[in-house]
Amino acid sequence: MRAFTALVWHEISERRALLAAAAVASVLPVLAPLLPSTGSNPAADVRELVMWIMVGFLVPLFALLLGVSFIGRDLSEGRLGFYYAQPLSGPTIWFGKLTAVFLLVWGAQALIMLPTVLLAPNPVRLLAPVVTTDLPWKTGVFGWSVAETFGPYATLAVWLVPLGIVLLGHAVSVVWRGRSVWLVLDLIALLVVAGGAWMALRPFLPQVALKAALAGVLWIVAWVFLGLIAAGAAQLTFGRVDLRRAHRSLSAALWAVLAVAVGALLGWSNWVRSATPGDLHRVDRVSVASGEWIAVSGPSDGRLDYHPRFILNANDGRWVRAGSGPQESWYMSDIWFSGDGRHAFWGKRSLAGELDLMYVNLEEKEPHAKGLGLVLDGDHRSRMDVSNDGDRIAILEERTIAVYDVETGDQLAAVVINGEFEPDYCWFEGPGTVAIAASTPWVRGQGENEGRWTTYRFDVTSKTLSRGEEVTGSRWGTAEKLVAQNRRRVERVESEAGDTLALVDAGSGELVADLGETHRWSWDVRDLGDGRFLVLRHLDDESFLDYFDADGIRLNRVGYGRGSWLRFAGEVAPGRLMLGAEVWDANEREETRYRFSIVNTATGLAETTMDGFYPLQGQTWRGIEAVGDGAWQVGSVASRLLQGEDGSLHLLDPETGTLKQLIPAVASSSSRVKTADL
Amino acid sequence: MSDSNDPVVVDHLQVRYGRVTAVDEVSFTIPRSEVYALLGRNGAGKSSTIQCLVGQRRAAAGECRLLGRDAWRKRRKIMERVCVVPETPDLPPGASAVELGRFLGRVRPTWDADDFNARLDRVSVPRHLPAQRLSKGQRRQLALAAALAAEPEVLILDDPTLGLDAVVRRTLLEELVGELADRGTTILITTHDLAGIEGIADKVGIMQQGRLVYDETMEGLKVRFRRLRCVRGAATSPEAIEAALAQLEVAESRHVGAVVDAVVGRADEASIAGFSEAVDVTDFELEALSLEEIFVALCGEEPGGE
Repeated sequence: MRAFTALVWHEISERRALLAAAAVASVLPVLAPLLPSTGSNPAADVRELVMWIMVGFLVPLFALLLGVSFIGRDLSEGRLGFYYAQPLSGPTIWFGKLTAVFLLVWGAQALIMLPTVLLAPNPVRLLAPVVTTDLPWKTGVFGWSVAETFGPYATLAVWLVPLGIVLLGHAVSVVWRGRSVWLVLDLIALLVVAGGAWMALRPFLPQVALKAALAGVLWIVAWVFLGLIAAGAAQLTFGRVDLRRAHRSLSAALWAVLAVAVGALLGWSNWVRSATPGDLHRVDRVSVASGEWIAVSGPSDGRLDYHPRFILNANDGRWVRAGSGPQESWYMSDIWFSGDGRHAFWGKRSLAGELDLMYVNLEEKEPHAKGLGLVLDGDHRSRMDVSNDGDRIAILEERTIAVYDVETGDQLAAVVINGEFEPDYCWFEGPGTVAIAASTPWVRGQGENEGRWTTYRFDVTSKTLSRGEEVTGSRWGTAEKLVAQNRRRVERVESEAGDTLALVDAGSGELVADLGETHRWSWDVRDLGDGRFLVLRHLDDESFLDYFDADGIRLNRVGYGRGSWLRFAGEVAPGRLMLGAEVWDANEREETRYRFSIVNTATGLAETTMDGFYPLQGQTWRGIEAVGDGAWQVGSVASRLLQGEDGSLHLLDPETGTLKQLIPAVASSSSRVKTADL
Repeated sequence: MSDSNDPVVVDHLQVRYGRVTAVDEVSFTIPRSEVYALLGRNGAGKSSTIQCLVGQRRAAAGECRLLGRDAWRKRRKIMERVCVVPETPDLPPGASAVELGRFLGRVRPTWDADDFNARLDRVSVPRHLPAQRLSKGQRRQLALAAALAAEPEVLILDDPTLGLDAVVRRTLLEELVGELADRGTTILITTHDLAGIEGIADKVGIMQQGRLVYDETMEGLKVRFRRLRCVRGAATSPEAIEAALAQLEVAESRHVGAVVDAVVGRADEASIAGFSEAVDVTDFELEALSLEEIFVALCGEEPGGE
């Protein structure tokens, strides 16, 4: 240690001129506000700006000069032998000199900053979160969100990048001075390592798994840093004063370290992407169709924001990997099922931002994903649709509607739609007919969901386009279809006395029956198909389920007590409707529990109630999506899916009254639920 | 051949630079307290041998041991008791004599600061000027002072007099070796100052093209090599003389008319008697040679200076 510190101070002392230069440079920011051209800008801002310019220019320059010379020049000019002639080990020489150079670089930076920091109104802020302050020039240069997001990284970078420059400068200096055939090998190794890192990280970029990609980048950067340090130590230990041998030792150590690091990164990347349904520790999104297949995605341990996605057979457990699920529902496309549930489609995002359409035939014994060779230039799933049998796919691109054969990828028909507005939606009305809708832009004041629609019909066989009626319709959130409203419907009526629910004639708008008071937001209606209907409402902190006949006469009321929110789910068996409830203690609203009930639609009474699970159907905010009319059929898989409070996924068997666990939610083992008897 | 008790052992050393063999199967030892002069023309492989010996360069084959330890593997430990002054002074350019002394005082266990200062005073090296601003001779003096102040058991000097004037050279060598001999220091020295080293070295090694061609005591070398002068008889051809000289291990021969002037490596009585009986020669003379004359005879032309 004594020899190490002696070497460090010796090196610093020998290069003290650099600190003197930094001290001179530190005066410039202090003098800068005196210049007439700085105008009315606050002196502190001017000093800070000039200081960062000095730091940004001089410190990397110092680092580069020191990096290329502190070993490399001694080596090539035959002066390194002095250190080997002393009782100093190779690592002591390397780490002693390196530490001295690091201290010199940091010292120079600190010296340049010192006067400005001392004069700053908030010195600590200036030293630490370099670009997170709200000075206009910073947000102007970096952008507010960039400054906010990368501020901590920038702080680190300001102090670590110069050290990286020292290390890189040293390595390049030795490699260049060596000028042996190893230079070619270095270039090859560089390409291999960079290629390996790119292969490892590339899959994360189109999936927008930015945390995973960033983790990979940081891993590589850290190992480049460590690799360069290790390489220097190897060079000084094994190469000593022999320049070529020094180059060989440095290169061998550096590339060995980086090969291991990139190998590990490739392994990790592969591991991240090879998750199985059992690895999910929470199911965030579920898509269902008619039939047995569902699509699930969610986070899993160690995979950061890469959310593996699977198409899973709820009955026999077979599954197909379907890339990565979305982290944000607005950004990524999800799974499309054909209406009959026999085919599934999804977009595999390329680096260019396009979606390569992938497809799996779920009727195969061992279903596997394959590319369709079709590309969507956006991620609006409303601009494509799959026929009910999954054999055809319609894609709306700007004003062109095109229909393709799924098996062959051949375009069957296409036509340009020359209407007033660009079409927004398309959907199959039948195997040979595609409907297209174009809406007027939203008009403020008309109501959030109101709009005027022009519809078209495209006959695939005859390749003819016909213009349909213009309708005023409702737009239901992100649902794509126009909703016909030709029956009685329940509406909320606002009045000064309070909100009530009313049964109205959908055609004339006349009041049929007053259904009573309700909470403004928390109410729902479920049509039982024969004119009868169920109404859920929340009133005075209590929840009620009301059972009405077609004329709005209440047949029954079930109170769920205080502290619960109710919502309808699917019909798990004929006449048995599932309800989901969020229940909380009246005094402690944070401790929300989940509950589901099975309601007999003939009596309107809850027959079974169970805590700890909630039905996915009806949980729009939890991301379940139904595709095709079959998804919500009585007894469908969709209607029987339940999620545990730990994020696990279960399928209710109405015959046996048991829950079958589909996804175990591995991270939450303490609250894991396997099966439960109803 | 090596005696593990000898402080310096070079055993079948090979050094290669790519495909070029710079040092080939070199072996020698230096017993304790002896001065070994390793001689050779420029490029003969002396500096490469020394770099391997002090653990700065790895041998392609063979072994170097200093103070009983492997020079490559145990360099750091060895250097506590060994000092090296290289052919070209490699002092850190920005360090002054004072800073150098301070640094060496902290890394060398046997550092004698007073001795270092006294030496600097003697040779008038400015103490506060950085090494890069000193003359070549001053830098060499500084390097020597630093090496000697560490009181090494083994001192390795790679042409220490290079760049010094004749007076300083002679003084340095005499002082140096006289003082170190008193301390019992073992010295390996390479030099082109053959006259200077002649009265100092106990043993001499001569390298030619990477090979150690002679490894003898100074006395033995001087006894062995003699200048032979004679006049060739009228009936004797130069070729006959050369053939006879070959029996005496001739290193160099010249014929000026009938006069024969040769340096021979076997000048013992019996060999000389055999030579004079084999050929018709008169005015036969044998002369002792200086080290420089022997070296020139063995290595060809004058040894190259810097």
